[in-house]
Amino acid sequence: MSKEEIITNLTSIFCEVFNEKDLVLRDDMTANDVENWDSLTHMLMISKVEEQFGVKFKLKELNKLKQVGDLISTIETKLQ
Amino acid sequence: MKRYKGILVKLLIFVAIVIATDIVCGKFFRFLELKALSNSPYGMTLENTMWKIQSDVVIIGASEASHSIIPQILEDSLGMSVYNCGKDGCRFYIQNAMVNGVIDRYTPKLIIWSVGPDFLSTPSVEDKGNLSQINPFYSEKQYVKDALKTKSKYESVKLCSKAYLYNSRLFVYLYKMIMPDYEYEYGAYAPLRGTMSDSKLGNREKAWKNHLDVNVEREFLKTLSRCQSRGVNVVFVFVPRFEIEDHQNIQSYQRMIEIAEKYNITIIEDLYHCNDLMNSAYFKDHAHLNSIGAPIFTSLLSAELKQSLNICDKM
Amino acid sequence: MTFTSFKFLLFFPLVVILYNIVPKKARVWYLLAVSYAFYAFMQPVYLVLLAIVTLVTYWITRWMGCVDDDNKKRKIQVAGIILVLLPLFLFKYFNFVNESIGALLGVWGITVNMPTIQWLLPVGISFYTFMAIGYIVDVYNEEVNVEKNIGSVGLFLSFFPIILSGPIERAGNMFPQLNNLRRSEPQDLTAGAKMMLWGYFMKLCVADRLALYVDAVFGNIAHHNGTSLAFASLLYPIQVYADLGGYSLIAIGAARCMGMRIIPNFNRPFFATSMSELWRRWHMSLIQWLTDYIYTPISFALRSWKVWGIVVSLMLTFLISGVWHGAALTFIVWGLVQGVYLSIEALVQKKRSNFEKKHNLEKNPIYIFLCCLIVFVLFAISQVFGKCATVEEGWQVLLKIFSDRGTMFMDSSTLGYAGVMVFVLAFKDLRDEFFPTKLRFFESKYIVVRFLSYLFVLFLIVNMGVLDAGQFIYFQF
Repeated sequence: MSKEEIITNLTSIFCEVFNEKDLVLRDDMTANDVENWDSLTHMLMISKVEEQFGVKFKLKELNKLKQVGDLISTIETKLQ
Repeated sequence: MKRYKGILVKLLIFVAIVIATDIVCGKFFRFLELKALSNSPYGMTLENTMWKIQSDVVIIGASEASHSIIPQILEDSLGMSVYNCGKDGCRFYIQNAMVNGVIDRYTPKLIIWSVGPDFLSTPSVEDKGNLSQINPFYSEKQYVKDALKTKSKYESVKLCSKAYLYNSRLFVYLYKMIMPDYEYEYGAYAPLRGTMSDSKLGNREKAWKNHLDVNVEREFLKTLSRCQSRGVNVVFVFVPRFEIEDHQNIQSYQRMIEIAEKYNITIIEDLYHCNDLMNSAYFKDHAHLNSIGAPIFTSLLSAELKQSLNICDKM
Repeated sequence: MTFTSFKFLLFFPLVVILYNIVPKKARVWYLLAVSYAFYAFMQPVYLVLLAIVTLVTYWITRWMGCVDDDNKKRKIQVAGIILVLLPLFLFKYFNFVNESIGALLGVWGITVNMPTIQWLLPVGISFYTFMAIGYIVDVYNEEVNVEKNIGSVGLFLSFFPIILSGPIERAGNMFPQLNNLRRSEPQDLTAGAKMMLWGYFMKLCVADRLALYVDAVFGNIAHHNGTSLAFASLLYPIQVYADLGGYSLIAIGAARCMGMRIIPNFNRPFFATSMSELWRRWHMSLIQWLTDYIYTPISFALRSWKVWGIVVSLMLTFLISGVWHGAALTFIVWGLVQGVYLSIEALVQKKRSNFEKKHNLEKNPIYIFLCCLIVFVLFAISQVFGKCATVEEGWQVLLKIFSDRGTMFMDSSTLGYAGVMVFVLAFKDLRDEFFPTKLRFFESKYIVVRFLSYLFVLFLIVNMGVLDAGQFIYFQF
């Protein structure tokens, strides 16, 4: 999967879980930038990411993700 | 040190402003207090007691005294001037300050002290709060200082501030300036009109707290010694209550009996629950006689006083 | 000594002055000595316990730092957490657990004499235990480096402004500061003093004044009618906010005077438009801790359960939050009620979001106000269980509120003062929430305005504060 495809898929997951129609992902985006992205919806998003991309995260890895860019690179690494 | 010079200077200036403001506050609140109290003659009772009155007979107590003992009747019967220093909510320490404030200035012939079975017990939280009524006399009277120290450990430190002296008093003064106070009659008697509502007629049982407070006892003995050395006659009176109770085993009561014996003080206790007075029509509530009961009680009291003291001979 | 005692008012300035005289290298040890002296002043015997927990934490984290194998590291982590939790369990929960077991066995007709421990609860144990656990887990997760200076670890767990009642700090925030303790700059001293002044106002003028009314009503539930109970229940959350919020501000301000930045604990909670937002503004350090160390691991483990995984995680997290507050059924009920509120909110989140978008309600002031009001009332209802001594009493109160009307108990003096004080507090919070740059008094550019405002607050404290040693709710934690 190319980086663009990852971003496209991730965008649709974000839009669905966070109920935002016109979200545009940026590398430096964090939960502070998205209205409905909080600790309650975060894990729902992660679970959907795992399903959609067929990857599995460790809790340690999750804690290290500080912004969307980190998430994208982690998915990239896992898919290789 | 240089970097702190600015902040230290500002701090010193601020502290100076605080001290100055505190003093101004003190003066302002004292002014407000007098203005509020002078609006109600009943409210001036404490001030009058401490600074003005020169009556032969002085009645000391809380609300039960101020609403039940009528100076006019006693004056007519005893042929001496009478003033009722009683005031709502004034428990031992304030009453103690009143007695001392009076004998500081002159020697009355008789002090009628309204007591109860729990007279020597520890003041309640509310009573401690009420102590602030004697704050204005703090700087001048040692017994007021001693009383206020019982409020808390560092009270004397806190009382260095004039603003603290009047803590939580502002609303009381504003209230007194606007709301009418008790009806007021000759000698600072405040009649209570009306009788008990039906709902209050119910539960007449009273349970006393059984605890003797050593600080209260100590101050009480000091005051009684003072009275004795100045030749002031003291009488303890139990003002009637519309209650069913038994106080024979209360520590505070037993100690008071002992003290009265030691100082040769007469206790008038038989009017407390006497049949002539135990009529709901004579009471405003369980603890207070109304304007119908008060004259009846005062007449009975004056007869007892004459009898037990052989007053005409002594005075 | 509590923050509102004369001893502290004498002790604290001396501590700050000496802090700035002591050489930089000695500052950690100086503060450690001061913090231990502060603790010893209250409970000298339990100082030993604090020292032991500190040593265990230090040893466990250093051991983890020497081990490479992840499995072994995890085992050390778990052992460390259990060791550190043991004293908290023994002192706080042992009797409650035994009583509950005894009660449960009693239901099946088995009577067992369960042992009880009659020891006084060590001050601050709930706080330093959580901080120690947080540090151990952070080391395992490689979020922070292992702290090699035992003085820093000791100070982290005993730092006197925060040990009594929080905020619950994090290793990641504290250790960098503790290892580089700098002198108090003038702006630190003024900023810290201002925070302390406002904290004292909140505690002595708002919280303790409201307590006079609330305690009078809740102290005699049988005597008061539903209307009085309702009013007291609505006042209680404000009292707790002013109490813990004020106390936290004093702690944060005290640390600030020494150049340290402590995490905030409250962020104007009553402007929350949802329960989840309330919990992002109320007792923030505790919720953040629970989120990072309880909620996240559990919700991660249950993520395949989707939204039901969230619900279970919430219920468990708030159950633990309730239990942390106290070893009693009332706190468990309180915690579970929070869990229920948040679960319902999580379940209807999408529908609510769509509804708001459809009717353009997000910026509508009336809608925002109504949401704040509903959240406040729901929170107040849950707090009834936090206030009452037993669950039965809590139900009694709620039933009475909805059935027993009458004239409200009026203590005009207390309510009058409380009204004025709450107004002052509300004014500041409203301003901070909606117009943060306007009408600034403590931060005015004119020194006259600043001085007058400090004077005004000081006057409120001295002339209208409750200065007869009010009890601090979160103290025996």
